[in-house]
Amino acid sequence: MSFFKVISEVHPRGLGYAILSLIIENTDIVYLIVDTEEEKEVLGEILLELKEQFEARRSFSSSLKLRDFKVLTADEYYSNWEEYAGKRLIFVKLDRNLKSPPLDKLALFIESMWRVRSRDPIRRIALHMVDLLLALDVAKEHYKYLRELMASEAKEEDPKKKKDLLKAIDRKRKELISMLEKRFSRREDIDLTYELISFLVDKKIIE
Amino acid sequence: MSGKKSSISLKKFEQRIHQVYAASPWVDREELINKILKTLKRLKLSEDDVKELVDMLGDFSVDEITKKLRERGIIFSPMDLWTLLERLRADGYVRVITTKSPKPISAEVEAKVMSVVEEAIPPEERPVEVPALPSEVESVLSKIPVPEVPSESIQAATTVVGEPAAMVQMIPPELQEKISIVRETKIVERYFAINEYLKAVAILPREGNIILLSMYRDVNVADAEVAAASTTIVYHASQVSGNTDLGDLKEIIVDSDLGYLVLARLPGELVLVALFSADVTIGLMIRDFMGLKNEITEILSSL
Repeated sequence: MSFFKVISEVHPRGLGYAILSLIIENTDIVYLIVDTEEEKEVLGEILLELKEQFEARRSFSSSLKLRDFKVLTADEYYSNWEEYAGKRLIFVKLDRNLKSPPLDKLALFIESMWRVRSRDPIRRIALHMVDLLLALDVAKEHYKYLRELMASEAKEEDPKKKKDLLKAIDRKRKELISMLEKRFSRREDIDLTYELISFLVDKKIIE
Repeated sequence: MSGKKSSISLKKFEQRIHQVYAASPWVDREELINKILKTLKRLKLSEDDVKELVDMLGDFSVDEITKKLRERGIIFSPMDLWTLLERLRADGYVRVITTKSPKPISAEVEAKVMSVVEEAIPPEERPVEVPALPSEVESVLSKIPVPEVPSESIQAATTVVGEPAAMVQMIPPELQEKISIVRETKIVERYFAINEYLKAVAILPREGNIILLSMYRDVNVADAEVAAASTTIVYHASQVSGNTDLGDLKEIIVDSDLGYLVLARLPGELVLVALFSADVTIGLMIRDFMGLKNEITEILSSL
């Protein structure tokens, strides 16, 4: 079964949810559950390509890492579901409607690949995602500093100092956005990177 | 192939109450509370109850949350909770993140499967004393020849119909399989474990002559009188609700001094009977009976 056929089954949101789970889940390994062998094969291929590309290009000091994964068909999972008790499960189809702004943007990007029937879509998705992930590493320090400023501003009672802090926050935010604009031409990619880095830092998934 | 499919559906059915649902990390707590309050229509829950529920998401399974809510006096059956969470899941507010290992069910119940109903022993018949016939009638009767009866017809007349073993063999194999699956899934035991007032549960065919499944503690509803009465009441009530355009029959409650007998129809011309002790609250009884009925119905309809 081709990539396009599988995406028409799992939907761009399903694939987006699977990719997102490798980035945001705070666990060593995620178990992804799909319906059929064909879906398992194609999804496994995409995620493996993403992991390999990322490992090849990530900086040595990067704190960001992609989770290990195992793709299971529904039959494989349900016939031994007790064995997976306590493991992090990702029901690709059942939970693809998850309310999540990063997932909305990721799904839009995958949908654009799917609709134009782009050549070598698996590699293109993987490469694009790796670009985003590498940007996260750079954006991380900017965002952490931005967060510190926001926390100081919330605590500050002196109106003059508060005003200065607000200006500093605005400046830092613009700096972060401008850094992302140099890397990405599409607004969705900039927003997606910003949302992902804020999520990962706020939830202490990356330090 | 179909056997494998039914075993997967069964596993899926078992797995669902052990699922741990968590709120989407991008959904605000207040937003989720408001969504739950809007989604719940028939179940009246206060805002505080919903907050309790939301606080348990992410850490506890459906089964565990149901028990914890009951400890706080919030009546939810596992099916109610699962249905609510699945609706929230479809709308993207929650997702399943893991499952918990099933724990052994603590309720101690006795069970009978595929048994013939226990007939009440009829009172010993005393011979009726008949006054002697007048001598002239006796002399006329003695002259009448005794007719010869063909031996075949005598054999036919003495054939025993409906021996217990034969009756049980009459149950279609598919139905026997479904009942054994109901048993395997331990649905009934789960309800015994969460509702201390539940005393007995039986599944009967329309004829009421066989107990397909009977589980009980302290009492037994699987006797001939209860079986016959239950099936008759359910089918008459079902006809009445149909004839009077009241819609489908949901359940019948027989309210008596020492307890409640709750009856309902199941797919495939079957009847579900449950006995609750008198101190149960009506709300809790109906919630659990409906939950039990819906879960059994799902199994009977899906296989």
